[in-house]
Amino acid sequence: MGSFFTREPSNKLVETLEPCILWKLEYEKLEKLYATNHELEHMARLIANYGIGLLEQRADSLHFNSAKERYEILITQQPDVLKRVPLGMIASFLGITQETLSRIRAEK
Amino acid sequence: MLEFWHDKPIFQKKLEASIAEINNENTAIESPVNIYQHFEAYIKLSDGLKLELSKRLKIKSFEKGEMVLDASRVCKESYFIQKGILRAYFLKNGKEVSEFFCSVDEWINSPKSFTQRTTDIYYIDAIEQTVTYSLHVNDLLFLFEKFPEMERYARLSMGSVFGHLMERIASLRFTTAKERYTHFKAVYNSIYPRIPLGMVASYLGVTQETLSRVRKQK
Repeated sequence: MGSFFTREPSNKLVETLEPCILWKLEYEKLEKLYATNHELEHMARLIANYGIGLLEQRADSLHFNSAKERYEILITQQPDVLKRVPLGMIASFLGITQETLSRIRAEK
Repeated sequence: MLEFWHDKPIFQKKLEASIAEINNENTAIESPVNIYQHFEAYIKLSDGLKLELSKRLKIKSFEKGEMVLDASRVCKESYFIQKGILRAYFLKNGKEVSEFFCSVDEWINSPKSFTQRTTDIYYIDAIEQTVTYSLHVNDLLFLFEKFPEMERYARLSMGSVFGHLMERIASLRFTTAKERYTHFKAVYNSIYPRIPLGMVASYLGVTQETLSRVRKQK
């Protein structure tokens, strides 16, 4: 996301975890749409604000919720994540080792 | 003893240089040339927009250690840094935790407080003597309404706050102090030697003793 905005490479990679069907829109074409439709530009700014709010929420959660709480929030918000995402990825998302994640899951 | 005697003139030279620098920049920002250049990297500034910006951008300076935003208040101003470093932090169990640092040519505000007009957890303070342009949220909204290109500017320049928060989240997900410190140095490559170690430690979520150990490890 950072790379898309700044037009510079970043250290973030995006990969598919399952077969996906996606829409794509190239940066230049999106910019053209913004340039000709001010409402779209306005919407994009509000969406960017919303995105910043989500990032802040995520940082807050990493500061104030324990690993166990973060795990519980995740499985409440995205109940099928355990079936579709490998545990190693869930652990790194939560900022804990896979061993800690196993311990949290065993506590249930 | 000899070393101290040798150091003194160097220290004095440095001090004089930094005073000269402050004086120079103070005269430079009487007309907001630097900030116009910054805007023009994103959008074309019409004379009308320049005029409205010059009416609304206010120079605000902060002493080292001065509070810029108290978390009990709504953040109504965004600050564009011309010199110095501002820090966003919050309190956890009564202790300051540094969230991100902003320096020259970057905007800083308390993002959620500023956009949603609510109070939030962030305090902002100056960790060096800092010179900024401040822009009130109402002025920003006025500019959005009258000058659609400002909306474009805001969207494109938001990258810096976005980037700081994304890197912050990346940092919090590393599980060792060493990984976090390496990442911190990469993110704040140009300013990290100017950030006090206590603040670095709270950013990394480690004690200052652990930070000293990690820094020695090399």
